Amino acid sequence: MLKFLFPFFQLIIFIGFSFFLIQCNPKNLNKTTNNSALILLGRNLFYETNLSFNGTKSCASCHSPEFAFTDNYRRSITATGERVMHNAPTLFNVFANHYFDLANPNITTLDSQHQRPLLGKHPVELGFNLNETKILQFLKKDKRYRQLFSNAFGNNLNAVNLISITKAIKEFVASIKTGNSPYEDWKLGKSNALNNEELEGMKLFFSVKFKCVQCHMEPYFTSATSKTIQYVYFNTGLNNFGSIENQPEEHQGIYRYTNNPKDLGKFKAPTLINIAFTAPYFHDGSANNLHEVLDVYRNGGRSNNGNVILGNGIKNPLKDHRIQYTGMTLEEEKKLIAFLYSLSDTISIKNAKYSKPILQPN
Amino acid sequence: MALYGTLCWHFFVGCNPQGNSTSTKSFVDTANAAAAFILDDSTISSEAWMQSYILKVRIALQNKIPIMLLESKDSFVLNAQNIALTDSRFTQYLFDKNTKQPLRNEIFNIYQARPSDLGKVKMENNSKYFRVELYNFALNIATIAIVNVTAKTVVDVNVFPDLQPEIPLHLRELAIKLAVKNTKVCKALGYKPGETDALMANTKTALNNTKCERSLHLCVAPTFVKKDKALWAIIDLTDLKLVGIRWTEVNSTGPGERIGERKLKFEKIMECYCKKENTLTRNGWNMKYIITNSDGLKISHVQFKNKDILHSVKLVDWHVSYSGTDGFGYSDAVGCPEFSQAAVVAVSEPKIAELFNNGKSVGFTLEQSFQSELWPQPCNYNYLQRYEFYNDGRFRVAVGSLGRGCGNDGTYRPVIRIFFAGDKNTFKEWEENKWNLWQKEAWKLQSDKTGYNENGYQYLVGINNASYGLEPSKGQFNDHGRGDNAWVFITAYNADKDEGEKDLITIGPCCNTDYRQGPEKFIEPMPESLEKGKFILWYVPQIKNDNAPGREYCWAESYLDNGVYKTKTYPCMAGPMFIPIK
Repeated sequence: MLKFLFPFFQLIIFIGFSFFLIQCNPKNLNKTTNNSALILLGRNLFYETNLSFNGTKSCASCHSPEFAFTDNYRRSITATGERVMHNAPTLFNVFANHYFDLANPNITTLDSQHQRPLLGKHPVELGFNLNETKILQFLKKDKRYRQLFSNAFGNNLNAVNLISITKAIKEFVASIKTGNSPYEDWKLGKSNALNNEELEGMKLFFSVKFKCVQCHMEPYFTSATSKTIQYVYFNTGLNNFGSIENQPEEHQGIYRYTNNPKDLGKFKAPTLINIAFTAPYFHDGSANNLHEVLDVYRNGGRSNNGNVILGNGIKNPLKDHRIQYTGMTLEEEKKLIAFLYSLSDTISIKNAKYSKPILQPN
Repeated sequence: MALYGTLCWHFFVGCNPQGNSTSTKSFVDTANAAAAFILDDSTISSEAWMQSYILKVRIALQNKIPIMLLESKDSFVLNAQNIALTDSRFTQYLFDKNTKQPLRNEIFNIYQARPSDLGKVKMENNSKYFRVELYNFALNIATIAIVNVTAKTVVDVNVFPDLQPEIPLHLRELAIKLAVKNTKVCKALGYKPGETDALMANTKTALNNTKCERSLHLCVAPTFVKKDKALWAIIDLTDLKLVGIRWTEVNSTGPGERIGERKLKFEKIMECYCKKENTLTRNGWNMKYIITNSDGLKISHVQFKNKDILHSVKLVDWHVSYSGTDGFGYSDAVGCPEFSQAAVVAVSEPKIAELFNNGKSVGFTLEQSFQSELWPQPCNYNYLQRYEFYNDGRFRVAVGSLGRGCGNDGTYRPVIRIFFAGDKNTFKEWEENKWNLWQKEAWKLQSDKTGYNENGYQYLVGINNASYGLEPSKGQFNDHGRGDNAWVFITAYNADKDEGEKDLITIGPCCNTDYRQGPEKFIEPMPESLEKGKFILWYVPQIKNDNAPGREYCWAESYLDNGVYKTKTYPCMAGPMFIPIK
């Protein structure tokens, strides 16, 4: 009898072992079974302070929907109390970007973008790697996360790892989109979506005189969607430190990576969508409001009122040639601001599918 | 075969999901907080000081009048307390309405009432008045009674939902102990801090995504400076636990500027400016002024050329937020040096000085400064109030900070209360190229899109038959200001309600980024009509500080000059100008 059953047992064992090999293959551990489940997992992780080594910060700490996924800081404070290099950008529509960092041209995918906040050391932002074992243990033991990971990756605890975490957060971030601003409605043909002042402002925005659209390109009013690096990073004449040696790190722009002196002070032109909610502005958050921003484009840079440390940005020799004195009037400024406000998508900001999951315990 | 067997064993054992699912922390939410203290560090609950306090709470809950009383050796204080307890208005919130279970209540402060505490209460000769402050932890309500201990009567009681009295000394000490004994704080600092290392431990705070959010619980933040950073240990005094730690950057600096002869000055300030009103007559202006317990320097009965202009103006609070997303910071009050445990107090007498423009005298200022003891060290504050009165009838209500504070990316929101004289007043806003009358209580934020008329006025205030344009600061007043970005609230005046007429306890949470700055409490849920013609304007500028070299604002630093420490300040000023329209 055993003689006849023996091959049957062999077959079962073979199938079982093969299943084991498939399930425990690192590649397959992170293979998602369900994209919407992946996004939901990512959304939960996005708001999870236990992803930081000391439990004090989450992605949402610096990218809060209340501020259109920024945080109202000039430069965010990390879990270790240090400041990050630059002003936190909004996460709306990043799915369309080709360049993701304000000043690092080497970050060209959302995947690579997520490495820095999770694993970066200079400074430590969330510091995931400083407490990885404990964080993963928490995620594996937590009932809610077990379910979320299971829905996204199948019922396998080994799928709870840095790769799957990054993947889930990335998918959630990529899902954060606008589409309901008055301007976007107007583009879709709703002719009364913009009032006269906003329409006048739009004309100024696209005009030869101000050339805003040359750097803040449609459809998302940013340079980040350009595939050509020459169209992405610019020096707008905010400061003039005089020499490379005098230029603080946070103001060096892509020079830090290219080592090309001509790249000193060049930064990505960020999106203007929801700009009404993302103050303060510029790479260092040095402009508190849109008046201060437009002053720069009125004067062809920022004079800094004779301050010897900051220098006269208007006279910066590396300033982009398009940043020139325009003599913008107060009336023009008012119209431009009206247009910029028409890029506000308050519906998406309040969209429940981007907000902190209700079941998230305090 | 053996290999297969081994591998299968590993399969079934190695890849099987393991472990019991652990539920995340659960929170007990009950009106009777004493029965459900949640202490996240089990060693703290066994500490003698913690057990002692909990025992006091439990004993109080078992009393007929379930209030934890203030301990004092002063017979007047004890009398005031006892008299207040006899008044049903004072004791109306001691029990849960449905279950009749006792709620946790505690007398926080009792002190001799000053003129600014009494409001319309007429002082009887030879009578002593005391202010008794009660806090209900369960319902987050402050109840304040004014007691005539001589006549043994309660002359006034006011109830303030969602407001909290100043923190008494024993709760401050409890908060510090909860912070220094907590392992999370020690781990974050890298050492065990001493109790004397804690700063600002009696200043109220908030923290988003906890019960401290929007000050729903009574929370404070003992703060520990470590090199160029400050660690905030946010303590929930309702639940008696640490609810979070946060860092801010403060940058290092030299020693503080100790105020000389501090104690002598305090006595003079108390006697001459806190306990009595002073009169000022100058350049056509008449007014009274007094330093209040917690509402800064208050001016009242302000006239220009014998016409009533202002009933009173004062600075109710300073809200300082160090995070828009986490929502933590301080809700601070400024006032007399002997006011309970306030850290930022009047350190000098009010100053009156001439105002010049192009070398010509154009008016005068009345200024008062308030300072923390170790300013300009991190987590110490220096605030300024300045009233400007011009010979042509203009006046300005300005406030400012001279740093340093507890972070270099903070937002200051001073809450100014301006009560106009007259009883046929109107309030109009410049919108769509015309003046629009406000008919009901409301609020509005000055933003990038705000419109101003050709003179730069955002609002028009009608005071009886006169009109004043309200011009917010956009940096045009030669005071280093960078713009107000202010919230404006208009609340109707009600003679039978105390909506800030007397000294107000801190009115709002520190760190809201929306309209909920405090005065909305007097508007919601149903805005009243303004047709009665008497209203109060609440002005809440939003000032962002900065320590970036070359761009310093609301900041202060020590530096060495010929071997001696000196202080350089970078003041920020905010506040509207009122211009009479002829």
